[in-house]
Amino acid sequence: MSLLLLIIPLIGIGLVTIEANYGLSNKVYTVKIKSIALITSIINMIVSFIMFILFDFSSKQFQFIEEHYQISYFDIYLGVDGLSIYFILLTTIIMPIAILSNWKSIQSQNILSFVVIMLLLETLLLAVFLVLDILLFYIFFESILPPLFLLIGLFGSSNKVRASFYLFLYTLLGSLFMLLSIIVMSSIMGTTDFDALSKANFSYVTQLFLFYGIFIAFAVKTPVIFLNTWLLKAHVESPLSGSIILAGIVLKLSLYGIFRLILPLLPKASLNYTYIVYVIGVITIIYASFSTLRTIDIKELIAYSSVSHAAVYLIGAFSNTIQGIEGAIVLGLAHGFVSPGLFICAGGILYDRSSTRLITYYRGMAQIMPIFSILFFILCLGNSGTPLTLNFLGEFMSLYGAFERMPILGILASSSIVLSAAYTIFMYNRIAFGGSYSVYFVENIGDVTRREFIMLLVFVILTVLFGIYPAPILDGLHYSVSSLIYSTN
Amino acid sequence: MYLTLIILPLLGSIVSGFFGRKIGVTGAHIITCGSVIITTLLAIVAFFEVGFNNIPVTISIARWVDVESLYVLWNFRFDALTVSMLIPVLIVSSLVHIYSISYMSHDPHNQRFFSYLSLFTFMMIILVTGSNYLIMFVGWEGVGVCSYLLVNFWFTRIAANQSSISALLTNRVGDCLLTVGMFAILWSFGNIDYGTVFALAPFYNENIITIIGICLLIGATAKSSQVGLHIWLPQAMEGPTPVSALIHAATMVTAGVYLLMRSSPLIEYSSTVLLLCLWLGAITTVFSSLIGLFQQDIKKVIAYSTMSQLGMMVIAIGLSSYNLALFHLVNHAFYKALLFLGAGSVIHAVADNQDFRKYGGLREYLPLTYSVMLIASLSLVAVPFMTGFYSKDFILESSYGQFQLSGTIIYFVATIGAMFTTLYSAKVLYLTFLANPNGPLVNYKHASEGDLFLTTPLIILSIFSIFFGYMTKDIFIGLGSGFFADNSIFIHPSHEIMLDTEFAVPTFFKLLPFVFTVSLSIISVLLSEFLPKSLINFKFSKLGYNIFSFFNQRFYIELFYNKYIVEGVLKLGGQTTQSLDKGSVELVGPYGLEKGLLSLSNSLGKLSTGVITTYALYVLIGLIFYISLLYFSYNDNNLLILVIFTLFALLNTNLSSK
Repeated sequence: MSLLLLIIPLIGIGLVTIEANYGLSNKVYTVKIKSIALITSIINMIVSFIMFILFDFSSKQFQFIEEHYQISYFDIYLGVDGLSIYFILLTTIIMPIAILSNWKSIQSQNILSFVVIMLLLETLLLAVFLVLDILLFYIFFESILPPLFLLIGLFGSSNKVRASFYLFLYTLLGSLFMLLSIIVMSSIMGTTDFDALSKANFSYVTQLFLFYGIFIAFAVKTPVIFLNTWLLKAHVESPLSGSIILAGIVLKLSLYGIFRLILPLLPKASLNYTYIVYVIGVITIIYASFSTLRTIDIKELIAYSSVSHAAVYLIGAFSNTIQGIEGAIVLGLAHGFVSPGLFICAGGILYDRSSTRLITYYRGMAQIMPIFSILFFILCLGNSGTPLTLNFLGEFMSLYGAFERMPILGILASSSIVLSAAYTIFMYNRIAFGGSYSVYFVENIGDVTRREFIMLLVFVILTVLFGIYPAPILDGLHYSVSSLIYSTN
Repeated sequence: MYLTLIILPLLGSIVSGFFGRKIGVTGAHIITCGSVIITTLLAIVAFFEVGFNNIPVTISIARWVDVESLYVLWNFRFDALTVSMLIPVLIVSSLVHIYSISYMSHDPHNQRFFSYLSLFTFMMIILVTGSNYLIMFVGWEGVGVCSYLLVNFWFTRIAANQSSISALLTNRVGDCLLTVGMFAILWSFGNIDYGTVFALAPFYNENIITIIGICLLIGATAKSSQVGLHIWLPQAMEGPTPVSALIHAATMVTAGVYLLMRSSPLIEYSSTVLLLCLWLGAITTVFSSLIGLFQQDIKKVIAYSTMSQLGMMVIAIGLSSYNLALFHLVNHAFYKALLFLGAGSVIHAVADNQDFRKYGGLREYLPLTYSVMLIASLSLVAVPFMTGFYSKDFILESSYGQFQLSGTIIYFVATIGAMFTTLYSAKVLYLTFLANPNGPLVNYKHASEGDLFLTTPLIILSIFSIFFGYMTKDIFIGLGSGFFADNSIFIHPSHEIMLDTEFAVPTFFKLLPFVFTVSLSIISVLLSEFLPKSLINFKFSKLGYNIFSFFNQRFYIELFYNKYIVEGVLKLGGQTTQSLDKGSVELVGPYGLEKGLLSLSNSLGKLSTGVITTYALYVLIGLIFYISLLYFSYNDNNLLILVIFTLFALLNTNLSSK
C-alpha cells in the first residue's frame, strides 16, 4: 500500500501527459488536465486514509512494509510507523488543496508543467516520509529541490530567479553536511538501513560529529536564525501552491528528520547538545517574532511567523519528554494546516483580487469580505495559539516539554505566546479592520468564491476539530514517541 | 441541566453569528436573549441546588489532552464558588443582552453583536466551570478574544482598533505568565486538575508554591487590571457601552480574582503571595481612584473605579478572606454594571457624547437614569445598608482586623482609596445631573429616557444594588455559614480573621471610612456649588496645573510603555528584518558568496597576463613551493598548495589594481 501511494501520482503524471499530447478536444484541455491531477491527488488522499484506518497503533513496528531488493544497486525499503503516518496524511491532505489553489491563476499553456511538477512533488514528498533507508531519505530529501526550483522559477513573481537560487544554495549547503554524516554512518555500520542503524550504538565522539552534520542540514530546513533568508525569498516569490507546499510540508521535513535521524541514532549527542538547540531556538523565536512585527509584505510576514513557530517545535522535539515531542508533532501538523491557510488568504484570495502583497494597501476588508474575514480570523487565532485550536495544544505541549527540560530557556521561549499574538493580531487588524474600505481599490472586490471557501474551510475545520478533540492524533503517536526516548529493546 | 447551562449560549451565538441573515435581527435578538435568559434561570436553580445543598456536580464529557502524565479531560465542575460566580455573570449578561436590543437598535450589525455577546458569555461560563487549569485557560483566552471582537465592534474606528489590540496584548502578557504557572504546576504536581493540585498543595515546598502563585498572580494582574498591566481597561472603554457593562464590570475583569479565589488552597500555603496580593491590591485601589478623580470621560471614570474595586477584591484575597472577595465581586458586578448601563443611557440620550464636562442638568430629562445612577453610586461608596456597604466596608475592617503591620497600613491606604472613590462618584453625579447645563442645546432637545428594553435592566439592577448585599450577606460572609462547606474556597485556619474583624476592631475604625465618605461628599458638593472660583484658581496655578496633568495623564505609564517598550520592540524588529536579514546576513551569505566568487574568478583570470616573464615567475614559485613543501610536511598536502595559490592570486589582484 505504501508503494501505491508513490505510484498513484506517477500514474497521474502519465495520464496528464497523454491527455495533453493526444487529447481529443483542445477546448476543455486545461480543465481536464487539472481535474485529472486533482482526482489523482484525492485518490491518493483516500488511499492514505485507508492506510490510517488499517494502521495498527498498538505496535511500534513498521507497517505496510514493501521491500524490493537489488533494484540496480540499492534496495527500496518502504514502511510506515506512528510518526510518519501523520506526516503522510498531512501531505496527502495538503496536495489536493495546493493543486486547487492555483486553479485559475496558471495560464493554460503552462498548465501541463504545473500539474506535472505538483504530482511529482507529491510522490517525492511522500517518498521522504515512506523510505526506511537513510541514503534514500537523503536522496528524496534533496530531490524535492529541483521541482520546487522549477515551480518557483516558472510561476513565481518578479524576483523568482533569485528566490530559486537562494533555495538551492542554502539547502544544498546544509545537506552537504548531512550527506557526509550519512556516509560516515554507512561506513561505520556497513548499512544504511534505518531499522538496523537504530539498533546501533555509535561512540560518543562520532555521535557529536554526526550531530553537527545532520543538525546543520535540518537547521537550514527548519529554518533557524540567520539561515532563514531562503524561506522568506522562496515564500514571497513562489506561486501560491509553492508557498502552501513549502509551509505545509517542506518545513516539516526537518521535524520528521529529527525523529528519524537524530533522536534514535544519536541519543547521547542530542541529549548533551540540547542546550545549543535551545539557545538557537529561543533566539530564533524572539528574533523572528520581532522581525515579523515590522514586515509589511504579507507573505513574508507569514513566512517569518513560520520561522518562529518552527523554532517552537524544534525545541519541543529536543525536549526529551513525551509531551514535548508529541507537542512538536502536533504543532507541526497544526502549523501545516494554519500556515497554508494563511497563505491562501493572503497570497491567494487577497492577491488575486488586488495584486498587491503590501499590507499598507489593505484596510477594512471585513466590510466587503465578511466570510473571508471570519475564516481568516479563525486561522489567525490558530496562528497565535489560542485555545480550541490545534496550534494551542502543540505550542502548550512543546513549551511544556521545553520548560521541563530547561526551565529558564523554556520561560524565554514562552514569550512566543505574547509575540505570536502581537504580530498575528497586528496583521489581522491592519488587513481586516482599521478603517474603511481602502481608497486604493477602484473596483469593488467580491467575497470568497466557492473554491476558495472550501480550501479555507478544510483547514479551519481540521484546526478547530483536532483542537477540541486531539485524541485521534495523540493516541496514534504514543507508542512510536515512547520508543523514541525510552529504550524498549 | 448543567450541560445545557454551558452549551446554550454557544448555540445562540452560532445561530446568530452564522445564520444571522436567515433569522434576521429580531430572530437574533430572540434566540440569543432567550438562550442566555434560560441559562440564567438554570444557573439560579444550580445556585440553589449546588450552593445551598452543598452538592458539587462534576460532568465529564471527553478526553482532551492525554499524553503520558499530562492528562486533561473536558470536565466541568459546579461547586459553591462556581455557582456564585455564575450568578453575577449570567444575570448581568442577560440584562446586557436585553439592554443592547435597544442600545444597538440603530446598528446594522445586530446579529454579529449579539453573537459576540453570547460567545463571550459562553467563554465566561467555561472559565468558571472548568475543572482544571487548562479548561479554565480556554475560557480565559476565549474571553480575551471575545473582548477583542466586542471592543473592536465598530472596527472602522482606529481608536477602537488600538484599544482592542492593547486589551488583547496586555492580557496576553498575563496569559504567558499564567501558562508558565501551569507549566510549573504540571511539573511539580504532575497534573493540572484542581482536585489533584489542591489536595497535594499542603505537602509541597513553600518556594514552589510561591513561584506558582506569583505566576498566577501576574496572570490575574493582567486580567483583573491591577497596577502594571492595567492600561487596557480604561482604553477598552472605546467599545459599545453594553460591552463595557458586561466585560469591564461583571465578568472578564473579575476572572483574575476568580483565578486567585479558585487557587485558594494553593496560595494559602504561600505567605509571600498573600502579602503581594495585599500590597498589589492596595496600590491599585489608591492609584486608580486618584487617576479616576482627574478624568473627564464618564466611562473612563467608571473604568477606574472598577479597577479600584478590583484592587479591593485583591486586598481581600491577600487577607485570605476569599469569601469576602467573592461577596464583593458579586455585589460589585451589580452596581458597576448598573453604573455602566446608566452611563450608557446618558450617553445614548445626549448624542454619544462621553465627556461629562459637557453634561449638566440632566436630572430633569433623565429622572430614571438619575435615580439609578444615584443608587449605584451610593452602593459604590458604601453608604450603609446598600449592597456595596456590606462587602466594601467589611474589606476595610478586615484589613484592620488582621492586626498586622501591613494590614493596618493597608487599612489606611484603602480608606484613602475609598475616599477618592467617593469624591469622583460625587463629581460624576454632580456634573452630569445637578450642575448647570454645559452642553450644546441640540443635545438637550433630544435627551429622553430610552424605551422599555433600556430601562428594565436598569430597574432590575438597581433593585439588586440595594438589596442583594443585605439578602446574601449571611450566605457569603456570615459567621458559620455552611455555604463553602464543599471546600471550593479554602481558608487556612491560622489565616481566619473573621472573628477578629467582627468583634475586635474598634468602633472608631469601623466608622472611619463612612465618616470620610459622608463628609467628603458633602465637602465636595459644597465646594463646587459655592466656591467654584477657588477650585478653578487652583487649577490654573503652576502647581495645580502640574498635579492635574500628572494625574490626568495617568502617571505617564502609557507614555512609558509606548515610548520605551513598544517603540523599542518595533525599532529592534526593524533592525533585525532590515539590517540583519536583508543586510548583513545577505552580505555574508548568498550575496557575498556570489560577489566573492565572481571577484575571485576575475582575479584568477587576471593572472594570465600574457607576459612570459610573469609565467616564468609562477612556474618558479610553484616549483619552489612544491619542492619545499615536501620538507615542511610529511603529508602530501595539496590543499595547502591550493590555498597558497589562492592567496597569491588575491595578492596579484591587489597589485594589479594599484
